Amino acid sequence: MHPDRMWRSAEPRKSYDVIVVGAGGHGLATAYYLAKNHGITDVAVLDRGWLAGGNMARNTTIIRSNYLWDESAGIYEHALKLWEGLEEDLGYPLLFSQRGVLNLAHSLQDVRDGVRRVEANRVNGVDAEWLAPEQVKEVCPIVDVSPGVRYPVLGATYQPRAGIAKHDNVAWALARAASDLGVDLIEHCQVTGVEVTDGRATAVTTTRGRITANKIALSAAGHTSVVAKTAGLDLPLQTHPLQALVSELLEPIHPTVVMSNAVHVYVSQAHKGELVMGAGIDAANSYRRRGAFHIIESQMAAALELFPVFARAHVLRTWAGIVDVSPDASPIIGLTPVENLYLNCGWGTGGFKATPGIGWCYAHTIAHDTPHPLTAPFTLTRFTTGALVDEHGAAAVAH
Amino acid sequence: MAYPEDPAGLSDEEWGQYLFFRDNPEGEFAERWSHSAGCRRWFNVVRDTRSNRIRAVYLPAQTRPVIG
Ligand SMILES: Cc1cc2nc3c(=O)[nH]c(=O)nc-3n(C[C@H](O)[C@H](O)[C@H](O)COP(=O)(O)OP(=O)(O)OC[C@H]3O[C@@H](n4cnc5c(N)ncnc54)[C@H](O)[C@@H]3O)c2cc1C
Repeated sequence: MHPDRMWRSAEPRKSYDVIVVGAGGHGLATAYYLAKNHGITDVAVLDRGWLAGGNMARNTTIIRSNYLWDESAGIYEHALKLWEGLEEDLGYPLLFSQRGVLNLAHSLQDVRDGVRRVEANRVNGVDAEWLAPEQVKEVCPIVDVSPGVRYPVLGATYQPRAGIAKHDNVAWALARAASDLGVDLIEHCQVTGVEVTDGRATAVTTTRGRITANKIALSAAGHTSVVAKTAGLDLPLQTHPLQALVSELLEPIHPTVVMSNAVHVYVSQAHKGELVMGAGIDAANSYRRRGAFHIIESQMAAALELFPVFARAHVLRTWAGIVDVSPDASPIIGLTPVENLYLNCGWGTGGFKATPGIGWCYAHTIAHDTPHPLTAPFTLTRFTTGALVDEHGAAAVAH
Repeated sequence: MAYPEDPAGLSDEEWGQYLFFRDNPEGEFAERWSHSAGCRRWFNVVRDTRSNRIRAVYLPAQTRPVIG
């Protein structure tokens, strides 16, 4: 049973040490670690809507760290290690379930990429195995591994420590912990502008008045471009709807997480019993939280191809979130040309898994006005230097 | 997005801007469409990214109309 109120709902004060814009998972985790790791408690987290009603409430909760490049392995593995102790740390059930993730290969090139990624993961201390089709079947008996299908399963990468968690519980637990440490969580408070004086961010204007701050940390996911623009900052981001769907509640049938880049679907089964499936982004950029129907249609076709047993399941609901996609499919984190203004964005379709890790590193960045070593490769300046962290396709990057 | 006239003359910042930075407004957005399932013609559109409503349609050679 949930207690009546898990966190204090606060009125905005005139001034804070740190303002975090956006009470999604990342903003809440950042506030929590600012207070816990750095003793910075004069913090407000502002959200235009209700707490964690953005992508935090809309994602398919896949957690994994089997990315290709060293930079990505660093931040995602740091996050996964934190996930492994987070329930205990926050004293709240997160339904964190390390049921593993399979990334299927359907072509010779997929196989080569998968094997390469397994090796790269191991070098980085990330658990990874290459499985032959029969082994895939052992891990997940309902996947069709017969050779006669249009996209036969030729093998899969497997990360046993990957899994899922209950996103709402994660947000609530972080909110409670941050609030207990003195952080103000302020809902229905939209930031309409960032005030910059002599190259320094000094205050935000909001729908609930002007608030000054020593430091302003953006964590507004799909709306980051809009907020950053008010500080004169252009970002290499495009905002797209990303859809997912669930079936009605079914008996436990799907023991792991299955992702396929080639047919583009990813599927797990929530604790309650729904099959949870994610799709790709709509090609056109949009801030409207409704995706195109044909995306859902091809996602379902892909799911049926892999799991013939789903043919009789029904869709219960579909929805979309608004995600911020960067040119190299990696996040943008760190300092900006505006002093005291910090950036955490570009997580696009895959930032839930990073929640505790980015909160940890972003809090460090804000507290010390220096990038955390694990997020230093992800600065905005890489789009000038060319030092991209290209995770497009390479790391089964859909999520 | 026009290709720079003298790419080699650009600074790293300018080249990065050209390669990676695009408008991403919450509101009116000018874009080029192709009617690929029909007449295959290219045309320009102003779309409101909050609602996906089409606010204006015009030929590629025309300038963006002012929407009142
Ligand atoms: C359908 C879908 C499936 C996904 N599946 C996965 C997955 O399986 N695994 C994974 O790792 N990731 C997944 N993601 C991505 C993940 O959800 C995001 O990368 C992550 O949630 C982003 O961080 P956040 O939680 O802080 O974002 P959000 O929860 O979106 O938080 C941003 C907050 O900023 C607020 N905000 C915006 N503008 C303003 C403003 N002007 N003033 C004040 N507040 C503002 C918003 O209201 C919002 O609450 C998925 C996303 C979607 C949409």
